[in-house]
Amino acid sequence: MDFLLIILLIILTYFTGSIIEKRHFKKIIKREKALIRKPIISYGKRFTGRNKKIKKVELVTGETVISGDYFKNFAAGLKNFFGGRLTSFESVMDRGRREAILRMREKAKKASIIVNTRVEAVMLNDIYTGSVPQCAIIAYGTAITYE
Amino acid sequence: MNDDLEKRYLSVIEDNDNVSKTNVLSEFFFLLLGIFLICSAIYFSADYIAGVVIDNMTNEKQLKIEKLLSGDRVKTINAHNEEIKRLSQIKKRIVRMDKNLQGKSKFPIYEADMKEINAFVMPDGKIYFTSGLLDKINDEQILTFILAHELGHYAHRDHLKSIGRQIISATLLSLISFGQKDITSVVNGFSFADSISHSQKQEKMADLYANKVVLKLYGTNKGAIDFFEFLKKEEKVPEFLYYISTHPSNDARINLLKEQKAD
Repeated sequence: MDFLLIILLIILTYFTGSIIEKRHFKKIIKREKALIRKPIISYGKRFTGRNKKIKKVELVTGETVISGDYFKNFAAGLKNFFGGRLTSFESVMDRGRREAILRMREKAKKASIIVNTRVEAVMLNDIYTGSVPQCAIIAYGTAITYE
Repeated sequence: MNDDLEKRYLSVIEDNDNVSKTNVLSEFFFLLLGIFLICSAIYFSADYIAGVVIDNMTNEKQLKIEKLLSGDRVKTINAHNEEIKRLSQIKKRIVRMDKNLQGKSKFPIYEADMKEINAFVMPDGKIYFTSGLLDKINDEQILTFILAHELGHYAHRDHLKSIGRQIISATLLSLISFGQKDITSVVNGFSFADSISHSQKQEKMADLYANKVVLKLYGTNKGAIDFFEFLKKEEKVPEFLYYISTHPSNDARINLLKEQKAD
């Protein structure tokens, strides 16, 4: 009986997960297109425009906590046995990273450049205790606004 | 220059290289297939090993193991003494016919205090007929068929083979699913399906054994076929539920008996 319930959950969450993911990607693409080069992101410490007067310097962060649906977690669990790329999680991680960077950029809309940008990810819980894998992704950087 | 840059930005946004283009669903089915193949190989080898070991086991060893396994606590009553005596007589005739049953358990027959229509054999050869069965069935041919079916399980050493293959397969499967709950649930699902098909196979063999006995003793298996017709009416279970049952459907069993008679 347990097995039938699992099959039902897998089918259900495959469809719900796909719909949610498609919508999320659509939103991300729309927001990314709207924010092209606003502000510029630099992953290094050096930045252009050193001669310009700086009006404001601030720390900007964007955070997101993301988890795969039941189907993705299940498929990844099976993949664990054979090894290889966890393709079902790739889209989840990509969504999480892009969402975190977008949130950071949206916070610094008026800034000219975000320097020293970093993206970090951390597991929120221990999957070996049987809980669902959840990943927190944080993007942060120094937003600089010229006069 | 800026336009080119803009185009590049747009193409990076639209065409995402970080996500594989493979279909997750087809990959999932391949993974399931892989685990299914591994499980099948394990069950096949467990079946083979248990079969070889148990078929070549001496009678003394068999009796020793059966003694260890016997620990049943079935509540018995004595409401159908005459039928039990009759069954004991039939039992003697069946045991005389098959060498596999001789020199082992004495196959004592008891009446189990249960309402449902059923009969079962314990690992140490004790045979139980439920009072529900004895209340409704009085025909000698049918009782002989049921008794021969239970003795058939014992003669084929089904109880020992089931335990043997379970021990071997459970050990190997727990190794591959160790600590991974997703694999454990898939393996459990396959194990459930496999135990059903294995049990149905054993029931089929016991039916064929009992049919042979009945044909030898009475020259006809009409009683056995009537019995399954009776069960069909009594149980009223939809056909599809037999796919998850340890026993084949009554229709399938009737067909099997008819086929063997034709042979």
